[in-house]
Amino acid sequence: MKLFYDIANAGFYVYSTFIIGYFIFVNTFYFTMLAVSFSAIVHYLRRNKFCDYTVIMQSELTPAISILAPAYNESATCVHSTHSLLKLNYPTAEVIFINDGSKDDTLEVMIREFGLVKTQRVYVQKIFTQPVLGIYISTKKEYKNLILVNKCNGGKADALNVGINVSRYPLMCAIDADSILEDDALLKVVKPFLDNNRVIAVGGIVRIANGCTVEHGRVKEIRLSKKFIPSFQVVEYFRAYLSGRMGWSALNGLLIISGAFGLFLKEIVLAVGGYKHDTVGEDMELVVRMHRHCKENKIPYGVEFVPDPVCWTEAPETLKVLGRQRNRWHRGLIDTLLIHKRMLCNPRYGVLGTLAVPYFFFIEMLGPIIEAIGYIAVLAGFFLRIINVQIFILFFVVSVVYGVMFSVGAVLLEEISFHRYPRLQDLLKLMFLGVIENFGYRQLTVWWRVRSFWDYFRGVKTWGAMHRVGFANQAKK
Amino acid sequence: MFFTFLITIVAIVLIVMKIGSRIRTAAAHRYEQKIQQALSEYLFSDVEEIDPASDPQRYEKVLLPLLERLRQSTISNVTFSRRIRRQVMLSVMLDVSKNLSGETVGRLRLAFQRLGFVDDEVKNAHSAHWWIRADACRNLQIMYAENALDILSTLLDDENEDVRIESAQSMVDIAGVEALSPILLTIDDITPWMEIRLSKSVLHFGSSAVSHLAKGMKSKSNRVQRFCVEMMGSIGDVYAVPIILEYIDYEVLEVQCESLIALGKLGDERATPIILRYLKSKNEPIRIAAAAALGKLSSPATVDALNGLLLHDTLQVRLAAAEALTQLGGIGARTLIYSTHTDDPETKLVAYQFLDELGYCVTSERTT
Amino acid sequence: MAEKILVVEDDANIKHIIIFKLKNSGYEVFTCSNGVEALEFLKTQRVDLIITDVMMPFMTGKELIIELKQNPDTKNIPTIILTSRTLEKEIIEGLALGAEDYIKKPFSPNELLARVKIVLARKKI
Repeated sequence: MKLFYDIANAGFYVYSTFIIGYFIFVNTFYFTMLAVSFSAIVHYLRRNKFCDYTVIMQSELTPAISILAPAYNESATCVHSTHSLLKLNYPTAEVIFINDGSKDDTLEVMIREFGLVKTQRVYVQKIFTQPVLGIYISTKKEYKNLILVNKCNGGKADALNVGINVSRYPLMCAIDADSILEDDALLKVVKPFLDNNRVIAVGGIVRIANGCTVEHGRVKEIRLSKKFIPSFQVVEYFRAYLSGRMGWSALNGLLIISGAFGLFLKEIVLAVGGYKHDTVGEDMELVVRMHRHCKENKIPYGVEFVPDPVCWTEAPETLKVLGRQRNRWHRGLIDTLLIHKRMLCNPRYGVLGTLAVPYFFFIEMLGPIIEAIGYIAVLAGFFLRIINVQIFILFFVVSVVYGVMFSVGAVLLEEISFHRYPRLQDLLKLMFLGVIENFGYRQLTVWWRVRSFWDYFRGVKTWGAMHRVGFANQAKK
Repeated sequence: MFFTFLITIVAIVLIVMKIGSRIRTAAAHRYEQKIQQALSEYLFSDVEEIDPASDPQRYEKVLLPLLERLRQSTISNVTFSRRIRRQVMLSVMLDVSKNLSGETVGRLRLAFQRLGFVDDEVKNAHSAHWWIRADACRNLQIMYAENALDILSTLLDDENEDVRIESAQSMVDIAGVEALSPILLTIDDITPWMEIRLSKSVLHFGSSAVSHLAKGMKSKSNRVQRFCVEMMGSIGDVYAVPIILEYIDYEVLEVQCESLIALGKLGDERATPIILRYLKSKNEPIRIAAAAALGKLSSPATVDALNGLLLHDTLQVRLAAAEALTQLGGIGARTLIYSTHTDDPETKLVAYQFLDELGYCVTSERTT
Repeated sequence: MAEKILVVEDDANIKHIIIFKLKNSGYEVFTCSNGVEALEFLKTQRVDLIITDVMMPFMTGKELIIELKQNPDTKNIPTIILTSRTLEKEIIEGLALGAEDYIKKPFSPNELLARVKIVLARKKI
């Protein structure tokens, strides 16, 4: 018994030294990122003053964009979202709606609404995909920019690849069929491509629309949801986008562009072979592969991030669905990092190899495990009475203070830069949530992500069904 | 306890900030309305009609009392410092000036000069911060400050991209088409964003810009050359044809392709045999550009050549040829319909696609 | 009786200039900042002419005109589009929606007044 006690004691001390070192390192890192993001956002806002989006809108030199909207069983929302895509402000854009073998009546609904007819069109399989059953165009003149592709089911990545094959224009914009884009979204994300000939991909901020009023496919009034779960995610998204991705893009190490909204140079996407269809994290995987392609072929390039709020999405409202979503995201992350493990700590890949990939590997991916072990160790130590209560409390308080500071920092960053939440009580609520998120919600996300390791190594590949209320129906309620 | 304290502090600071900014914006809004009123009175008071171009001195003399009234009415405010008052006034005047034209703008320009706003901006053009320099360039353009042209031209090779663009834009807007060739020869690269900005002015100048664009072709940057050719094509003045022909065998592929397309856009019959010659080029991009040019030219005489491409060439060229045929009117469409009866599956498919795009929608007949 | 004109424009400065100019010439002028407000306003008040911008938040000028033309009460109110969107195809599109006139920004206030007069005179006939 004594021996066991000593081993536990020694193990506990080794682990706690490790964890304190890890903790200090991670938090210094986060702080630097917050500072980098802050200066990047200030720079963006300054530059933005010299950009008149109507000039881009009216010019004939603006590059054309193909918008790819994959859909699987979306008959409730597809008409609505397609209408709003067709209405976006942009001089030349085509909307490619890809029906990924839906089992419901998505195809029929679309054909009826837009007066589509089957057409014969040259389809070159530049990327190998599931067979295409038919390509439809509209007989009505006002929908002449709409193309519908009907294909056998093959998953989202496969649907996007079909869209890439069909698209005619040099830039492609991948979106989720259910996200709402702001009217000027395309004009805003195309700007980095115009500023620099070497930009290959641009991501935009995704915001949570739960609680906002949506009318005519536009977000009309911005409010925080009354429910807790979506509101927690608002804080989380602020942290991830404003202080995370913005900072990474300033360092040219942006590894994730959300699948909900991203603009890519088609030439490079084709060169790397499009989306990988056997991973759940196809959006991140593609960006990492594009980075890698350019680094390995010594092509100078840039991956940019636009902090302007451009895209709204519906966040899960129940813990069950949220848990599934986080599980899938984390499996995607694990998969992507393991596929590209060669880049880890490899100075050949510059900032990516030395900073970005290690960050995602040790902090984003393994972080939850380390945190979970910490919780277990604390509990065990508590029961075995080897823990020093004062140190424990100190450590706990410090970690919570840090967590709170980053959340509040991100909320402040939003308030300073874009202040989209007009009501003061919403902002205070966000700050309050930034505090209480550390008791319960954070542990829950850790649990989901730890469980995803288990699922990943068991080989689960499912997406986890996403139940959507649909914005149109929500507005009626 | 420490962190609840921290959060409370942050929250209180935020509330104070928000409320403070609301009060300030409300006050600024009231002041803004006052300036709008004073400015409207200055702009729309009837004075004796004098042509400012023929007798500038008298024009100014007539307006000076009005201007004095504008100055007086804006001073009587104690809520804000002089600096902020001037800022608000400047922003209102700039906004109005941007959206107006005609005689009213003449009065605004006089106000900018006489109230010292132009001098302020000239000073700002030497600022150490790029955003202040860029802002100064832009404001000088709205103020139409002809006396600031020298300063603007020194900013053409500024280290910051935005400053370069804004100064070029201002020069073009103030000095007109004359400023174009110095700009094109000074800049050593051009980004798409700058192209978009400049193209707006260039297209506005129309034919008078052609000779300046021709000078711009001497630029060392291929991108600038490509831009000049593209603009000459878009302007649509046939005087540009000989200039473009000089560059049609240029060593840079991009410039060559752009020249072909520009020739097509110009729609000059003299260009037809030359473009036809390039349909036989060994380079695929050049054949595509030539086909696209023929589409823009839209001359029925080129139907056979395009049909030839549609029947025997690579897929990309066939697509370009079919698209060109759709622009040739009835004869092009008829050629496409004939092509659907050939044995070559690729030709058939390409022809069907473009017939569908023309709105023939042959599919329904085909499937039944 | 003075003729009533509704100005729909989101830029406060320009709005003020237009109002001042029109009021100076003896018209009764109302203003709204966007299409949604304008539709609300028209439910309670009849006007003789609408001057509208195109790029506005919530509802663009084009959407406003489409809505107006669908309503029998407002169908016959003449509209003038006043906008910085000057592409040929946009002008044609605007006029095709049923606008009486299309004025490009930057605009001359004097010219605007002259056009307003013409449109109102034409309406009387």
